[in-house]
Amino acid sequence: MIYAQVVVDGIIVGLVFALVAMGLSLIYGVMNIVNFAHGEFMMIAMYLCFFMAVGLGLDPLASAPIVALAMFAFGVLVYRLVARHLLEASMIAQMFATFGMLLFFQALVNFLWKADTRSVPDNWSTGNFSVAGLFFNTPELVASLGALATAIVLFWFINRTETGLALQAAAEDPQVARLLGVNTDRMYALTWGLSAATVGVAGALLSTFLPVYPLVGTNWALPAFVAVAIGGFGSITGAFWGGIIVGLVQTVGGFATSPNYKLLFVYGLYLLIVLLRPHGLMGKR
Amino acid sequence: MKRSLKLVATVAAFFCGAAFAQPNEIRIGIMMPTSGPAAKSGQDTLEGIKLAYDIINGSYDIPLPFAKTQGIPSKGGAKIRLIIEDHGGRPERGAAIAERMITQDKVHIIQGAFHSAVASPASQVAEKYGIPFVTGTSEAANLTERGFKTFFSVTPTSNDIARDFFSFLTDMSKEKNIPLKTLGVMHVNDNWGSSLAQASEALYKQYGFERLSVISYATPVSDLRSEVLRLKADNPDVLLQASFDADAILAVRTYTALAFTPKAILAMGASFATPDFIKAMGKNADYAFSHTKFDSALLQKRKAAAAVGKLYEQRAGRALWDAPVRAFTASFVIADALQRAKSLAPEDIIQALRETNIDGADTIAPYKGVKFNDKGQNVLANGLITQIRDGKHYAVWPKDMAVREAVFPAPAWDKR
Repeated sequence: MIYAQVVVDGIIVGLVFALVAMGLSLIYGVMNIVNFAHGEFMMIAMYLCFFMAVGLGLDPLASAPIVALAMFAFGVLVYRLVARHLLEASMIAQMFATFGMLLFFQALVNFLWKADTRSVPDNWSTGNFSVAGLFFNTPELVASLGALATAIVLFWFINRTETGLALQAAAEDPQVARLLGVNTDRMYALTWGLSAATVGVAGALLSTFLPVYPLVGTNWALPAFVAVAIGGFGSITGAFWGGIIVGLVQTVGGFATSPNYKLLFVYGLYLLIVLLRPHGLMGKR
Repeated sequence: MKRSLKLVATVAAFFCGAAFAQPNEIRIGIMMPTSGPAAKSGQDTLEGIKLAYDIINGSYDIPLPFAKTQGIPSKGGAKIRLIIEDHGGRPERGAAIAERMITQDKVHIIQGAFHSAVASPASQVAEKYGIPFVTGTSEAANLTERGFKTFFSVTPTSNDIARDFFSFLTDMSKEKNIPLKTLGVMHVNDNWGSSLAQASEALYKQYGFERLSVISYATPVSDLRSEVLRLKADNPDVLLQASFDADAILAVRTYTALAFTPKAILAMGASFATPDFIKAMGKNADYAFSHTKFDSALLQKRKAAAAVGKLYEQRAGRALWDAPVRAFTASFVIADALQRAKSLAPEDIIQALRETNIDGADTIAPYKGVKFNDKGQNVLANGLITQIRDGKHYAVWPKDMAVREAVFPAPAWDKR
């Protein structure tokens, strides 16, 4: 029975990893840029939720769409101000720029609001329940279901809409896409917007039960990076499954042996995949 | 030619001025984590240190030594200047900061570093240069076990804390007639967190426990499910915990979610004592025990505590609590040593620190006093165990400091 709980918990946390990882993979897939500040985008979204909850009394689940829109605009802004200039830059310059944003946003938030571990007050989803001997924390369950729903919307948008297909074309071959009349600059802006919006939704969902503080994003970005690497850089489907695999492997592996070793399993798997399938499970070669 | 002469003269005058200004200031290097996993605790603690030196430098009507006078009287009223650096909880940065403080800022003393894992390499650098290093907050027992000549710890160590926990649990077990056989330890896997596990390993059999399960985790941490599920499977009677600010919140959230209900949770260090923890956890913060060095009862027992508490609140925007109190106390130990030191040479300051003998009544901490053994550990340091009730800490142990009776075992999460 306890193993059923372990597996369920692995999937619950894996779905949130998946949502964070998908946004990360999206930018890489389209622009070949690794956004190291991805976790900080999530952190900013969590602060937005916190301030809306405390200032306006808005439940994080209600403010999630507002946060998604705000983060979309923020993503576009970051593209216009920073990322656009990195398109032709060397990989080192790209890494420095996005890593610089990571440090900048962390320090800025620490400066503006200190490092208080703030928590959203009790909200709609607060509570626990148990079904058939399995224990659930309602906000965590809501977060993972919300992550799943957002992932499905993102899949649909990218694979079923004209804009999504144009986005894929821009990712595949920007020059040809441009010849076919796709405005790649707008597609890139859209990519950053979408990436920030998805991680913004993740932040909103997590803020219902996690404390908000300057380092909170880093904690979630690291497993997301591994998820992206396992799933294959640039593959959104891969990132989704990668997230679930990371969640399952760390929870089950950690429980079966000792939690001290849980990251060993995650990074062991990562190493194995890098060695055997360098492009990841579903990445492009 | 004339102009360049003038320039040289100005520059020379500037440097001479700087050189002459030196005897009137004493430089203390403060290293604290104002970023990183314990950033909030670090920022609060830093405010406690700054307040202490403001009181020492300025003139305040508070019943504490050095409050009414300005600066260090025996050193011609020399003022203390703080050189403050953030190490973000990273040991390697701590060592580099200590090196820079000593060789470039020429500090007389280093104080810090909150994280034991940072204090360890940083104090090693200080030992190499023979500069005194005083900690008010770093609890790992192995810091003073090294037997350094220049290292002084005013705070109780993890060994003292673990021993207090075990004595308290033995008392509870007898008093409430509840046998306690199994013990869990949940800790962050750095030097400080591991020191609680080591102390528990050394002590648990001696205090009648039959089984110990130790679970550690690495920061930054996003998820503690496998850790808590493991704990739940082992189902210890009581849990000792050493966590940082946000980890503590995440851990207790996961306990409630997975219905892991030990009879009591006893926390070392700052995290469970922070106002943020109580705010975040609401009624689920209740009944947790903390080994702390400050609670509302002390406000009555220590004559200066209320006034200091008020000043701290004005400055930090929140009530005075454990970690700032300990750092504040260490700052006054430093001032006391500086006052008695024959000169500001490092060996004289170290000698003065070694001869420290402060009565607990002259501090705002619950310590019996401050007196160092040959390894630099304050042998009169002790703390008290508090329990959170309705969002406030109340001293419950030792009995002579207790203001309320302990609730043991704690009610289940869904019965609160």
